[in-house]
Amino acid sequence: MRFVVAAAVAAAPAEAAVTIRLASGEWKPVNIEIEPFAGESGIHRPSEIVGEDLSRSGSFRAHYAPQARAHIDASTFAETRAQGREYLLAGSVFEASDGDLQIEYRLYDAVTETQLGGYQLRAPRDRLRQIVHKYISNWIYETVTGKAGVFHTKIVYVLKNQRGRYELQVSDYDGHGAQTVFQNSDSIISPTWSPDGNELLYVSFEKRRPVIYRQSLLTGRRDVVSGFSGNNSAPALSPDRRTIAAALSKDGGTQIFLVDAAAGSARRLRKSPRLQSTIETEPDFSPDGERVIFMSDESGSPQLYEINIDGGRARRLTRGYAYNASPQYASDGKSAFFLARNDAGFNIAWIDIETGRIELLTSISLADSPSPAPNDEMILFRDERQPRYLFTAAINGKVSLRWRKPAAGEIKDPAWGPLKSDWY
Amino acid sequence: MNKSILFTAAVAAAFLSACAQNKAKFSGRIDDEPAPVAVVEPKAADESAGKRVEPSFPAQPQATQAAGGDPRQVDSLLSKRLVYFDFNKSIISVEQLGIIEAHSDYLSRNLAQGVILEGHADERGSNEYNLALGQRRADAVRDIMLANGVSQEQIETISFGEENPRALGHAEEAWKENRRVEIRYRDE
Repeated sequence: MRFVVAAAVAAAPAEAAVTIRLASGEWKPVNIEIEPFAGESGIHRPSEIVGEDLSRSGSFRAHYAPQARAHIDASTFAETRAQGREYLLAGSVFEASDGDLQIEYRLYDAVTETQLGGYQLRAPRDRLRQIVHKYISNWIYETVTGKAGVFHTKIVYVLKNQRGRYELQVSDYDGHGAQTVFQNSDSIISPTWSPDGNELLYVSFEKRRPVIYRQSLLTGRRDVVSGFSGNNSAPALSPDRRTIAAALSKDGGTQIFLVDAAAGSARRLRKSPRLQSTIETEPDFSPDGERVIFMSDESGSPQLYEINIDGGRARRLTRGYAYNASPQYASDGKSAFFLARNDAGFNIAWIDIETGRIELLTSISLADSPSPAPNDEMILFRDERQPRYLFTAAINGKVSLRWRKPAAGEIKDPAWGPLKSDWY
Repeated sequence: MNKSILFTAAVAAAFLSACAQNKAKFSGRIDDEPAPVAVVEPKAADESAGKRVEPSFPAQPQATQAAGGDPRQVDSLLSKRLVYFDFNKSIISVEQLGIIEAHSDYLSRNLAQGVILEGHADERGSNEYNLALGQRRADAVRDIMLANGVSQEQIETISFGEENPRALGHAEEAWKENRRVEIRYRDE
């Protein structure tokens, strides 16, 4: 990818602030007006890509100006302010003589009547979306909110295509640019990322029972990391990549084991014996690698628990709802996202681990498969009633938006990739 | 075995009554040969070609329930291959027990017959929990079979979780069809 950045102000690096403000009644999004970029056409328009990114985040409400202005001055700012918009984005995109695109853009603060920054980029046409996500949307997001933008990140999910085959696909977080990295006639479930975004772990039924594989996205090489007798599933990789937590049925029932990635040996996560009929599954490592959060139905219903890796008793985290599953830590390890069932049905939820406070993030009835973004500001999820789409919910403001277009089949088990990797 | 003896006795009785009839025809001449009677060989179990023993049955259905029945026969209890469950549960209700016991009975008397118990769940909730739930349901059916004399080597359990629904749809009508264990006979 070639690009040239010729510009003025560079934004200061964003702090990874992970405080989650969930009082949606007090939450006010920032209003931004986005002009169509001069010269934009076709299905991939920078103004629309930026507008959709910022709207999905919940932190912005995007308003589209009907046309690009000839010039921007004091009267423009007055007009913008009068309509309640605090920021203005304008730009242009043209094809250079060698077929590459030249993109130029400026962000204005309509309140202080200043230009906050302006850049010029050059990139091949097939990289347009990535460039806009990474250099425009992320930059605006970081400039205004002070948080890291995630619009350039990738996700992985399983597609059951129209011929009934299963495809492991990696795409942009909004569904564009999907690539199949593995396919099978038997089920694939529970993909998860390595911390550096270069590998995936997932469960494949190609041996007629669930076995956990690791696959490099850089080389395509795949190998078995847990193939014990019975079922091997729900993989999670430790931050230091040395341990895989997994749900194994090799000793009867379904219990969580820690598998040494190098040696392949497995030991139980919890020392105390469990009843044969207890189900213990869906482990996730805390970002510092010292704790594991998981679900168990030992109390009589599926609840969330947390335990220190080096031993001790598991602490029960949830009490309110009848069914709590699929826990995943937020990036500060102090809270977690999960799936809860209340009277209204299944919804995505969030829990503060220390206080036990729970917030619901969606209000449908058949939500499924939560996966938080690496900046904790958005979460991917499914709606069982609309299996060909994924949805993003914004943590602040609780705005839920569906993908623009359906996938070529049913989508399951999305997992959001890390902030940085070697290949995106 | 019992059935072939029954059959042979029936043939013998037919033979004897036929002889009696012939004797009546040729009265007075004791050294007359009786007329040859067509002898019908009894239908034995097919052991000749070294094939697997097929269960064979009398022409008339038994008066008692088809405990020794054929899993392939449409109206027998053994044709029922699905055991159903409540949401998130792996408890087997009394009504379902009869089906499992019928299969256990057949399997315990046909030790070469293998069976695969496939556990499933409806689509709601966590994928992974549903995989484990399907396994627990299959294990529950297995445990009843073991208690009823089926041997460990005959039974294989697997789970598909929510991945292989029988009924599509997002309401209880469909969900209840999917919370099941399927009993599949090997080589069927």
